[in-house]
Amino acid sequence: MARAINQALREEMRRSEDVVVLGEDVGKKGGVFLVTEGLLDEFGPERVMDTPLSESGIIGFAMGLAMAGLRPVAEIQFVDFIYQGFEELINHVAKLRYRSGNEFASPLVVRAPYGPGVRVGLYHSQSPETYFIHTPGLIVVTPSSPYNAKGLLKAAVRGEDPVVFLEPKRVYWSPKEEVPDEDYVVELGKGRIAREGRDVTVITYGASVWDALKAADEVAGDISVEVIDLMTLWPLDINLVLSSVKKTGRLVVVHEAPRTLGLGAEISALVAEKAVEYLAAPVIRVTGPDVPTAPISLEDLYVPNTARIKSGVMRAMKY
Amino acid sequence: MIVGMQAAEETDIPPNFVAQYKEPDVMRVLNPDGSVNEELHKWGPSISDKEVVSLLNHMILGRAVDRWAWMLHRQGRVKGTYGSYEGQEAVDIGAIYALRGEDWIAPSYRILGGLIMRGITLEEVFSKFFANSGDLEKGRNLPVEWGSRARGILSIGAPIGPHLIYAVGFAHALRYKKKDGVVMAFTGDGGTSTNGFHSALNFAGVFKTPNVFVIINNQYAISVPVSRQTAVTRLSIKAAAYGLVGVSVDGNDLLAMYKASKYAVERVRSGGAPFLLEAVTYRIGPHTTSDDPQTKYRPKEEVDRWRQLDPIARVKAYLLRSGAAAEGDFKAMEDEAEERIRAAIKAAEANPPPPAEELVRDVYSFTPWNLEEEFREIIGER
Ligand SMILES: Cc1ncc(C[n+]2csc(CCOP(=O)(O)OP(=O)(O)O)c2C)c(N)n1
Ligand SMILES: [Mg+2]
Repeated sequence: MARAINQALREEMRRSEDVVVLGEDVGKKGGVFLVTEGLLDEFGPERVMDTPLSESGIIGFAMGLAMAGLRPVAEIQFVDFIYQGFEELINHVAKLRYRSGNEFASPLVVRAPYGPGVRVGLYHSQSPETYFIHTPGLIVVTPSSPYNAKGLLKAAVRGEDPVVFLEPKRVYWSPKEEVPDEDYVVELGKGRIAREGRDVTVITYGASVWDALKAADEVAGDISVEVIDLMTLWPLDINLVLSSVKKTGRLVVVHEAPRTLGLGAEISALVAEKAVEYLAAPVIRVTGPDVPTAPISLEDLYVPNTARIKSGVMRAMKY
Repeated sequence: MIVGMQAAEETDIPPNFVAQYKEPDVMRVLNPDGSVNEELHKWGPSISDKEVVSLLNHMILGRAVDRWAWMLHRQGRVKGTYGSYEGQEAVDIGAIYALRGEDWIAPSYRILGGLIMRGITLEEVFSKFFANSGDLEKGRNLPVEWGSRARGILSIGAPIGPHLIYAVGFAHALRYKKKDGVVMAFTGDGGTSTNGFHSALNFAGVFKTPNVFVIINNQYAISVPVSRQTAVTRLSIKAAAYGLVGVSVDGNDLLAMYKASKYAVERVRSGGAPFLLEAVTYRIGPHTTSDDPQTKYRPKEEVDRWRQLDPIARVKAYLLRSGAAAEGDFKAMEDEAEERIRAAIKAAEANPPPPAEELVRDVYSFTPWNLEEEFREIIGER
């Protein structure tokens, strides 16, 4: 996935001179996950900017660039550090179009690796997507595979609204997938059926998609699981969610973020409001626990793994 | 596009109307060959040869632990990311030696030797590396983030900057409670770009808190050179705008680090303005175990040039000159460090992992229903 994102950046920078990249270590080093590798060589320091160590600076500066017509793609080295730029992101980037009566907008992309699974503790493992989903004005995207990562990022760069692009670092290097060299976009706001099924729907996103697919495989003899990969977390692809739930009548939502007020809570509420008569069981959430995030020593207990997803599916089936 | 590190801009405005700052020299007492600047050596707080020998011992131990950390990490035994320490030993060991028992440290993640000198045991160090129950922080944090109430070390997380401002609040509270303590807060050169740094200096200046800030300017923030953190030439200049005293010190010079720190700590304790010390040094190793072996963003010759300024070699040369120690003593220190480290690794490895319940403890002072429920689901007891 890291390479696919690199390819997307390269293609978008070739496509338009307005696209610039900024962040900590994005230049010579090519980013700590090598996502911006080689961009400095090809596009030079005016378009690939190593910045001072300041997330508020990075996001605020990018906002100014975007207001003036550039298309900045800002990297936050780990999403865990984005809070230092929260004022800029939540109060200004997200609210600019609304507060200015559509006089101004800041179509920028903030990319950041997120999520647990590589054993680096409380401040390199967080899954804070809810904060962004809960902030009107931000589009929130989470790719799950190299193919959709490339297409989603290209769509994000070309869009008219600010996008928080969360990259599941657990799957940066594998699974691998063939990514076409040509130009394509994956439309924002649309999820995909990652696996078709009849008995129960598992809705998830990011790295958990792979765990859900594995769980679906393992129970395939007895239960036909449909796996939905949201890709864009907000605005939610409500039609896809409802049509699948109406088909299966059972729903499990899986995410690594803490359970309380996670996206699972909103999906559960929406389904209850719009399709309760189709439900044969309560909506089950399989999520990270409500702790500050995965501790190094007990990380394996934190991440909702295949076994826990299967047990969630069983609970939905047995109800 | 010109960025970074310029001398003060000249203008045609009559100079008396232009805010001025002066670029300081970098304080150096001990020369690379072990000779001293006599005048500075006599200035300010003094330090005996016996004390220097004991500090050298800590520098050697710190470097040895660093070497072991890399080795153990390569073997896959260290959990999480480890940040290198080699070449910076004089900074934290000189600065922390200036503190008294009642003082506090707001650490950065690259001051291992100083923290061991402050009382963190080697078994604790390796237990943290192994993220097991022998770690005070229960293996939750990275192996380079420390906090220990008993040793006067404030807990830090990985995000750079915020610890500087809570170190100022902490110092203010010490004053309020009529305690004598001073809070010494460390950050890197990269850290000087954070909001936490600027708030900290501003609040410290306004409230005149008992703080000494130490900027470990090791020339890089991962791959980003210090010229991308500031447009001025010396980071100590930042003190001027906030009403602090700013001093730049050769960070590879144990004597200068100690003297400047001791002076700052005692002056701040007696009610003087807070201090900002810039320790000019260099990170010899990669940023962390996840960094590439450095040549990508800095020339090898640069690293070699700084190796010539090695802080440990400098102290050794000094002690040889004064006759306070001989080569054999250094060898004995190194052997002892190895021995202690091997024993500590063995002891640390015997500690079990933290119990599973620790996943949901300490989120609050109590454990609410949702965490009990989630924990039961996770361990499959439902
Ligand atoms: C707020 C924040 N942003 C980004 C990071 C990622 N990061 C970890 S260390 C580092 C460089 C720090 O450089 P410096 O302050 O000079 O300290 P040094 O590593 O050189 O000791 C960065 C960018 C972080 N830990 N916190
Ligand atoms: Mg640095």
